Amino acid sequence: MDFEVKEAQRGDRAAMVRIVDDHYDGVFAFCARRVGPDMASDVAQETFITAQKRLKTFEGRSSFKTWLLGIANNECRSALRSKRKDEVDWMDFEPSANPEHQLIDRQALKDAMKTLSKEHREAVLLHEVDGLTYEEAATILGVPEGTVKSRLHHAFLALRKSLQSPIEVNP
Amino acid sequence: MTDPSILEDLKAYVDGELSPERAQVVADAIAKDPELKETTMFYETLSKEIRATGLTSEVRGRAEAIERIRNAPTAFDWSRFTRTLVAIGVVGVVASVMFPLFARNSSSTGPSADASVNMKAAAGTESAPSMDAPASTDGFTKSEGRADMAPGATGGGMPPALNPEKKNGWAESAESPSKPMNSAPEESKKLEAPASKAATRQAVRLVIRQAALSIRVPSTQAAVDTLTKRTEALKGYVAESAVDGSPDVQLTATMTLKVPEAHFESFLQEVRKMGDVLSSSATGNDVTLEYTDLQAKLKVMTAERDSLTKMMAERSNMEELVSLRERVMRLQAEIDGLTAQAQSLKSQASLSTITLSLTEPEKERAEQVLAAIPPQDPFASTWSSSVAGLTSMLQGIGKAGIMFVVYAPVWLPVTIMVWYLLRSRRRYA
Repeated sequence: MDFEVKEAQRGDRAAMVRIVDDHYDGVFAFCARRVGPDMASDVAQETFITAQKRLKTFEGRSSFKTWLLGIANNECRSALRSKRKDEVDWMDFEPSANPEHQLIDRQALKDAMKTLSKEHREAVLLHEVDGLTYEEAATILGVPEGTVKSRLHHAFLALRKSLQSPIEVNP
Repeated sequence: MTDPSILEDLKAYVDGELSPERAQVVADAIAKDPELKETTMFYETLSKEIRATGLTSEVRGRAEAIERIRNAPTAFDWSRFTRTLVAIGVVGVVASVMFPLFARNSSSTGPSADASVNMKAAAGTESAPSMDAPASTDGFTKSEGRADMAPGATGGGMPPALNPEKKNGWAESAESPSKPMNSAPEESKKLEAPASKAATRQAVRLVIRQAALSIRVPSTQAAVDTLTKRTEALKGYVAESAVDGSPDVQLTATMTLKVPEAHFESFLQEVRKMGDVLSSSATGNDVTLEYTDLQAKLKVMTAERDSLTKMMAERSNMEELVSLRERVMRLQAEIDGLTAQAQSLKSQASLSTITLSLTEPEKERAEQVLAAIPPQDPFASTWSSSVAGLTSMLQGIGKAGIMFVVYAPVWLPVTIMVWYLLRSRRRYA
C-alpha cells in the first residue's frame, strides 16, 4: 500500500490532497469518457470525496488506482442515473485527426461499436481506452477475470464481423 | 482447421494477458496459420484505432477537487461506530442475561441467607446450634426444658403401682416410657417417616415451633394458591388467610399455616424459594417439662381416683360414700382438665405454625419513584432519568440481540436471498 494512502488513512489531510493531485487526471479522463466532459469535473470531485470517506475500507487487495476507478465507475453510473442520461458516446468527441493515418474507417468503427452489447462496450472501454489490465477491469466491474477476457474476445469478433474483415492498411 | 481455444485466446495474446507457456502455444499456432496471423494483425490495428478514438479532453476541476478535500468535514468513522455499537449490544445482551442471575444469587446469599441460617438454628437441624442447649440460642428460642429431662427419665421414676390404665389416649406413652411422648396416630407416623434426625429428636421432646416470614413474591394470589395446596398436601391446614389490596396495583396477603412438625424445615425451605425473603423469625418453645409434669400429675390423680373408687366399693356407710364420691368427682374433673392441657400441648407440638406475609412488586413503581424525585434537584433528576434510560436502552438492545439471534432462521434466508438477487441484478446491470 502506498505511503500516501496509509497516511491519508490515518487522517492526514495533506496526504489526501497529494493523492487527489496524483490521480485527478486519470479519474477525470475516466469520468469524461462515461459522463462527458461537462459532468466529468463534478463526478471526479465526488469520486475523491467518496474515496476520502471510504479510505479506511481500502485494504490494499487491489491497486489504489483500481479501487479509485471503481468508485469513479459507480459515481458515473449514479450521475447518469440522476441526470436520466444514457451512456455517453465516448468516440464522438474526438474529431478525426489525420485521416490518412487511419487504418480503419472511424465512422465504420463507430457504427460497429454501437452494435456491441453494453457489457462488451464497457470491457472494450476499460481495457482499450482506459488502458486497464484484465484483472483491473474485472475488479472494477466486479466480475471474474475470465469474463473480461471472454467479453473482449467476443467484442472483437463482433467488431471484425461488422467491419467486414478487409483491413485497409495504408502503405 | 484453427483450434477454437487458440482463437479464443488470440485477443488475450495480443494484449499480453496470457501466461508465457500459453502465449508460446498461441504464437506457434499463429506462425503456422496465415488466417490466425491476419486476425492477429487485425486485432492489433483495431486496438490502436479504438485507443485513438478515446476522449482526451482538457482536465478541469482539479483545484476545486483539492479545495473540497481540504475543506471536507472529517469523515465519520462508521466502522468504529459500528464496532462500538456491536460492543454495546454484546455488553447489553450479557448484562441483561447475567444481571437477573446475579441479582438472584445476591439475594440468596444476602440477608435471606442469614435468615435461613437463623431459621435452621431455630428449627434445630444438624447444622444449627443444638437444641440440647436452647438457652444459648437466645433471641428466638424460649426453652422451658432440658435435654436430659427426657420423659422416660421421669416416667421411669414413677412407682409401678401408680401406672395408669390405658385411658384418654395420651396415657399410652406413660405406660411405655421408651416410646415417644408425642407419638402420633398411624397417618402422622407415615408422614414423619421420611424425616430423619429432626423427627427422632422430636420423638424425645415436645417443641412448639413457630416461624414468621415476610416474602416478596412475583404474584401474591399465585403464591397463596400454591401455599394452600402444598399445606393440604402435607396433611396440614390453613388456619388463616387474608388477601388485601387491588389486583391492578398491589396485592398483599397474610397466612397462618399449620404444617406437621416433621415437614416444618422442608416446608420453610420451599417457602423461601418462592421469592425474596424480606424478614424472618422463628421460635421453638420446648414444653417437654410441662408435659411431663402434667403426665405425672395425671398418673397420681388417676391412681388416687382408682383407689377411692375401690374404697367406695368396700364402704357401706352412706356418709362415707357421699364423701368419697365427692372426692372422686373432684379428682375426675381435675384429671379431665389436665388431660385437655396435655392434649393441647401435644397438638401444638405436632403441628408447627408458620405465619406468612406476602407482598408482590408494586405495579408502575418505577414511574412513581421517578415522579417522586423532587423537582428542586435537577441534577439528581437528570442523573436518575439518564440511568433509567440507559438501563432501558441496554435492556432493549439486549432483547433485540437475543431476538436477532433467535429469529435468525427466519430473517437469514430472506436476507441471503435478497442479497443474492441484488448482487445478480447489479452484475447484470
